[in-house]
Parts: sequence; C-alpha cells; structure tokens
Amino acid sequence: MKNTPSISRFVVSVVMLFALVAASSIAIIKTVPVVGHDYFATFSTKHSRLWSLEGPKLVIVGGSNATFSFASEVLERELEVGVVNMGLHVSLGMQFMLREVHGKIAPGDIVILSPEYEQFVGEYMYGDHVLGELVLRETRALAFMETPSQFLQVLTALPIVTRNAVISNLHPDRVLDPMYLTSGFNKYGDIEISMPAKTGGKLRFPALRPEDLNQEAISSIAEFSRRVRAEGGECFLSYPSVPDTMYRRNAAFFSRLHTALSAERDIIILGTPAEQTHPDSFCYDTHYHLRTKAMRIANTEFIAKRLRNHPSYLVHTRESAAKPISEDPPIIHAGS
Amino acid sequence: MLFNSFSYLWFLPLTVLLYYVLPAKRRWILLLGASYYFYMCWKPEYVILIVASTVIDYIAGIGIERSETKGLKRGFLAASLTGNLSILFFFKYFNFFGENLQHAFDMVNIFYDVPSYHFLLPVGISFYTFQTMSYTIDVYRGKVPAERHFGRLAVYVSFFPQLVAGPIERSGRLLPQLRREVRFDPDRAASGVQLIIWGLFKKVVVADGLAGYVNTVYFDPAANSGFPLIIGTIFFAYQIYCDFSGYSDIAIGSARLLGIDLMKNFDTPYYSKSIREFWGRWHISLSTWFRDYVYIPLGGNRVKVSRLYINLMITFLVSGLWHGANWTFIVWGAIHGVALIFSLATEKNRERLAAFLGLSRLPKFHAGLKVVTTFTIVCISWVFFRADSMAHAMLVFEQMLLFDLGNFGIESAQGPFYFVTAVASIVVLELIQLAMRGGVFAGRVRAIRPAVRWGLVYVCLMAIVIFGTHDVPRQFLYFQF
Repeated sequence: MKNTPSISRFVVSVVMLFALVAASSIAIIKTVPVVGHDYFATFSTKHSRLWSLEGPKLVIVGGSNATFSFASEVLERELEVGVVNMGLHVSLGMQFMLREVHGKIAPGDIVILSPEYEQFVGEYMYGDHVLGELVLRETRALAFMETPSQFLQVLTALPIVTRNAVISNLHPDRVLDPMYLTSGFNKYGDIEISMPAKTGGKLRFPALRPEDLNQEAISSIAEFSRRVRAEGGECFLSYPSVPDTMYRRNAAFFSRLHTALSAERDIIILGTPAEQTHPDSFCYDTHYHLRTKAMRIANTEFIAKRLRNHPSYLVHTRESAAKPISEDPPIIHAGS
Repeated sequence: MLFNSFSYLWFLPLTVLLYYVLPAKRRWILLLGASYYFYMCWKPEYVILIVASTVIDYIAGIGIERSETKGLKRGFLAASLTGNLSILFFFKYFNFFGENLQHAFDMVNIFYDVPSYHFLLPVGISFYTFQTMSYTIDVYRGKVPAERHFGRLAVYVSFFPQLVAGPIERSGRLLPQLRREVRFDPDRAASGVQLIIWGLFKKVVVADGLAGYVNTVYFDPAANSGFPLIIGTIFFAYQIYCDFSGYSDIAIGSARLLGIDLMKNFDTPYYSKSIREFWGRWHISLSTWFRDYVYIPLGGNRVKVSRLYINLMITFLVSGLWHGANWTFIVWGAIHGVALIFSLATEKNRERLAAFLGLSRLPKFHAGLKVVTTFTIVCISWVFFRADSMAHAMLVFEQMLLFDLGNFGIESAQGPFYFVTAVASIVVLELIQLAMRGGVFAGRVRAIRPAVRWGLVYVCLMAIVIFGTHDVPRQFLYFQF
C-alpha cells in the first residue's frame, strides 16, 4: 500500500494519455469524414423512410442478407403496402436491429424478420466492432444501443474508423466496390445493382454447431414478436436464403434451430431452412449476398407467396382492414 | 487473448493494479489466476496440459534434489523429459510422423493405416514445454534449487506475458524475481508502457501492414512471378520480425509493469554480418536454449571439426522441427545449419579473398556487404518458412527466377498507395531502430522531461491508430509454434 500515491499518479497519466488519444480520434472522425465507402450513410436514409411511410407498411429487418436478397418493389406490388428494408450489416447484431424498429410499428404493419443464421450462434446477436463503426459514423445509432458490451464496441471501433477517415482522404482515388456505396441502394433500402459473375474471392461457409445455439436469440425474437403484436402489427420470420453447400454443411444446425424456433408459440415462421436455398453460383462475395437483381426478385417472390398464403397474414390483414388506421405519423421512441 | 486486442487493454491494467494492491506473499495467486485465465480465453480445456507439465516438473524437481544416487536423479529427469516431450509429440508431431510413416509404408507396399488425430495445436505448447524442461534440467545440473512452492512454479511455467510466444525464460532468472517483494517503480512502469506501445507499433502498423501484400503474392505465386515474389519475401522478413519481436516487446513491457524483467529476445537481427551473429540476435531465448540444452550436451565446439559440424547441423534441424511439424521448417533449419557450417569452414579463405579484393581497406563497405549477404541467406530460408509445403516453396523460387518486374506487385498491394505505405513503414522502423541502437536513444529519451516524453508516446499511439490494421486483430505468427 506504500505504493499507492505513485501508482495513482501513474494510472492517471496513462488514463489521460488514452483519453487524449480517444478524444483526438473522435476529433479526426468528426472533422475528416470517410471518403468513398459510405455504406453506413444509408442508416439515416432507411430510418427517414421508416419514419415517413404512411399507412400500413412492411418493414424488413436483418443484416446485409436483407439488403442483398430482397427486392422490395415485389412486396410493395404484391401486398400493396409501403416497404422499407432496414438491413445493413450482420455484425450490428440482432439485439440492435430489433431495437431499431421498437416503437415504430403502427397497427396493420408487417415485419419480416430475416436474421442471418449466425445471429443464433454464440455472441453474434450482441454485435461486434462494426456496431461501433456505425455509431461513430452515424451518431443517431447511439439511440438504439442498450448494453455495456455494445458501448464497448464503440471503443473497439475507434481506431478502425479513425484510420479509415485518414487513409480514405490520403488515398481518395482507390478502387471502390460499388455495392458498398449509397448509390448502390434503391429508395426501399435494397441493393439495386447487379454484381459481376466473378466474385472477389473464394466463398467461405461457416460451420455452425448445434451446441452453440444461443437460446437468448430465440427468446429475443419471441419477445420482439409479442411487442410488434401489442403495437398492432405482425411479425414473420423468414429464413435467409443460403447456398446449397452451406445448407448441406450445416443441416444439423438448421434442423435444431428450426425445431427451437417452432417451439416458441409467438414466432411465426415462413417455411423451413431447406426451402430457402440457392445454387452456390448465385452468391457474390459472401453466402448471403445474391449477385443479380433477378435472383433477389425470385427470392422475394417466393417469400411474398409464402406470406400471402400464411393464415396469420390473412387474419392480420383482415383485422387491420377492419380497424381505422391512424392518420398520425408513427411516434419514434428511439432507444425506448 | 491477443496482446493486440481490446480485452488485453482491460486485462493488463487490472492485473497490474491488483498486483500492487495485494500483499507480496499473495501475488502469486493473482499471477497464476491471471495467467490461466489468459490462456483459457483461447481454449479452456488445454490449460490442463500446462497443469500436467507443472505437476510433472514439480515432482521431478523435488525428486531430483532429494535423490542421493545419480541413477535416481537421472530417472526423475528422464521421467520429466519423457512426460513433457510426449505431450508435445502427441499434439504437435504425431500426425506429421504418422503421415511420413504412411508414405514409407505405401512405398514398400505395406498395407497399414497409420492412425491420425485431428485436434487444434495448443497455443504456445513448444514455448512452455521448453521453459519447463529447462527448469528440470537445471535442477538436475545443480544450477538452481528445486522450487518447493507449487504455486510459484506454476506461475513460472504459465506467466502470461511470455506464456504463448516467449521469451523462453530460465528458472534461474524468473523464479527469484517471483519470490522477491516488488515495489511499484513509476519510471520502470513508464518504460514498460513505452515498450508495449513500441511493440504494438511493430505488430499493428508494420507486420500487419505488410501481411496483405505477402499473403497475396504467396497465395498465388504463379500469378505473381518475379519481382513481386522477391519483394514479398523481403516484406515477409520484416513481417515476421516485427510480428515476433513486437510480441516480445509487449511481453517484456507487460512483465516490467509487474516489476519483472524478462530477457531480451531480439537485437536488430537484420544488421547481422554473419549467420552466427544472426542467431545471437534473433529469438535469443530459443537460440541460447538450443545452445545450452542441445548443442553443448552434444559436445559443443570442444570436439573434432567434423563432429562440430554434425552437432551444429543436428541443432539446427531440431530447431527447424521445433518451429513446426512440416518439412519446410526442417529445410529452413537445414539452410541455417549449412550456411553456418559453410561460414565457419571458409572463414579464413574469405578473409584472404577480402584482403585480395581490397575490401579490408573499406571496412564499412565490407561490413555492409556482409549484412546484405546474411540478409539474403535469411530471406531464402524465409521462403521455406512462409510456404505451405515444399512444392509451394519450390514454385516460389521458380517464379522468382523469372525476373519479371510484374509492376512491382503493386496490383497485389491493392494499388500504389498501400505499396508506398508498406515501404514507408519499414523505413520508419529502420530509422527508429538506428536511433535506438546502443541504448543511446533510450538514454536520450530518459533525459527528456516527462511531459515531452509522454507527448512522444502520444504521437506513437496516434500513429498506431491511424496507420495500424485494426479491423481484425491478427494473430501473432509465432502462436502456431
């Protein structure tokens, strides 16, 4: 204990040093914005659309799988509702994705929840440094964070975003992948462009172990579904479309997941994992990114058909039609 | 847990704080708990192997000391070595020897399926096995007393800063430091922090920055013939140096925060003027281990010249095998062995040649020539070290010899910007190392006012933030050994 004063001084010096580095990094991020890849800028666009859609709407929730495998105009045309695709990135974590739409569901609304399979494994649903990157780029995302581990990701992401900000300005003429630019998105929040047949690298399929299934992810979806229902909407879970190889490798996990999800009374599932597969060649750079718009349309048509024929959808739309729909815009309770 | 992860940023300060708050007699409990936790973050069940090694050597150490006959002492030593090497062999070499045995059986038409096991190689197994073995051998030799305190021996085997990639410490150095009462010394702690930041710079900025180029050209040598492969190999030389010496710096810095001095593991090895000098400056804790426990017991240099060469070759082949269960590592060791033997055998002739060519009158030029030659030999050996297989290494050499400029491999480096930053990182590294040589720089830094000194540390940290690779904390290359 004789060491205490000198330790305290030393600790204060080190803490001040790191605080100074963190403050400088934030100053850099705020004064030197990232040039080029502005994928995360669509966060604001999507939220603005979620705010502004009037009347019954359909909200797609998921990671980049939602962005790269849905063609929202198909849903708009077939179901005659306004659509917003909130999908952005798998690593934001399902916890954050569900939080984003809390309180924004109005009577008659439909939510299609399409979480990547990884969200059900280990710690994935809580998000990683990508969540921190989003918050540092789009401060409004802070409103949807709730746990200390999520806030910790901001710290983890600090050097990443600082580096990107400086490097992207030093090297603005670097080759950018068009699919990670805001210009690649349509008004719904889907990726609009088609990618070349040749992928950037060999596809890597994760090995998902049934014993790693995170029961909390399932409970979160059940809780979310109950909430949506309480707000007058209805939530449907649609498995993401995956390549045949990925399905074959992880069949045991998919089966276990489907059984666990089906056991939850509050979760309405559209189809089975086996029905949501496609040839490996459909993928661009990851197992969830469909290459062409035609592939995304086909996938969405399949989901639309399943949804339209689902008894819960029929009941929901009938009940909604019977109730008068509020003229007021939905109230946003960000972070509530 | 990686040194370059955020988890370590919490783990280390917390451990250091608790360490100084606890009474000195109880600190071993904290160090042991922290070390096991550090290891278990990776794969919890493998901690049992460390515990097994500790138990074996605890019993063997006391057994050796208590035994009155040489035979019994030898028995305990043999039991310890067999136990430790069996664990190492099973986890690291079983499949390698099995595969080679299978090839041999197939060649002579013996139809027998040699069994193979598929499990993850325990991180750092070669490091802690060698460390614990050196303890028992030193007790046997009477160099150190057997440690009676099991907990303290367990800390010696598993001390987290150097557990997974060294420096391989000797019990004679580390155990007494674990016994003594350490008071917090702010200057020492500050130098520890500075060393950690310097190590991080080497790892996150230089090594990880070079990794992209190296991985690309080595992934597909056929598409990167000629110059890009030569550049890629030079980059790899710097990548592995900064990766490994960066780890050692962080380890030494972390231990220094706890008031413990670990041995120096690197001393600007690429400035070596011969292979012999290189091994005095590269992975010093391993090369001295092999010197003391393999080379000298074989007879060292107090034997006939032919026997000396055999001893050297054996030592380097074992060193290659220590690095990995693959023929590429054995060849890597063999290249160093042959180069060393050649340099010893031709030393006088080379001196005469240098005098004949007038190089003796140009000592700086001559020294530079020696440095370049040594670096070239080391780079040739790195090709085998980096390659996945012998066929891969041979393909790299074939493609290298095409001498195609290949746009300097700039395409492989994702454009000129990244190529320039990779080269710049090496230049900055060398400038700092030159300034630091001989301890003059360290003396000057110490003489600077603390506020300015912390200012320099701030600049270094900002450089790490801006120019480092952070997206995915890359594992240290030497973890695989």
